[in-house]
Amino acid sequence: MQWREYFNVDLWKIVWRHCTGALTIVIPFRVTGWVIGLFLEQGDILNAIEFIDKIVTIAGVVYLALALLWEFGTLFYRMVKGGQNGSPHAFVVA
Amino acid sequence: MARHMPSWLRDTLRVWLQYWIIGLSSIPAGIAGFLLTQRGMTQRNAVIVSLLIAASLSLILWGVVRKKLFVSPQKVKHTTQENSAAADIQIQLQPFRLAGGISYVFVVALGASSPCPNVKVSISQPNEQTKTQTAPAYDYVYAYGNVVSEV
Repeated sequence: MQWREYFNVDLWKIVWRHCTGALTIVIPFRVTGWVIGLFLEQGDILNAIEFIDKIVTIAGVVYLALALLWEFGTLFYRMVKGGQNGSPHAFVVA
Repeated sequence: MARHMPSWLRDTLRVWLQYWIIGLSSIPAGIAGFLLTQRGMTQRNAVIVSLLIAASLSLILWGVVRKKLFVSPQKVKHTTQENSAAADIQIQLQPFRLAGGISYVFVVALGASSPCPNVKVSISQPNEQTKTQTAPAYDYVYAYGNVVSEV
């Protein structure tokens, strides 16, 4: 199996899975923070919520980058190695 | 030998669960970071500390969730009755460990963020006794460790 086949078959699934996973945390937290901010005046609580939102967003993006790096690296390693038990089809994502 | 068949939905839910754990771990980490910024730490350092706390908490939480939800049939099959009793005790202890870890983070963060008591300490000499009488309200003046006057 050529590298194009690996990347065409599996990569979009991996990227989709991780990107949607990151969006499932970033969007609800951001929207919740924005809605709460509508009802609060400027103060410590609002600043804390904004800080938490920032941490969640950064953590999600950092985790997304690390996870994609890990998935790419694993895929590339297995492609070079020839797959598990010598079969390149062993690691195809379901 | 029983093994899980590859499942797109299960793997996707597992990945999403990891992201949710990251998000939930970021809440106490964000609170701790905010308290550190209130204490005087710079925003950048507080973000770094918060991310480290979030990563640590999410690793702990993911370990708990993986043991609770993703037990492989192969592992269950080969577990003896004695080992399963020990595993039950381990699983029962997990929430306490988790609660202890979270409590520790909160106690450290709150302790770091508690304001210093605004108390003026002055050692008054016998000839300065009249000075202490003119202290403003709520200004406690101590002399040799004892309250002299409260105006």
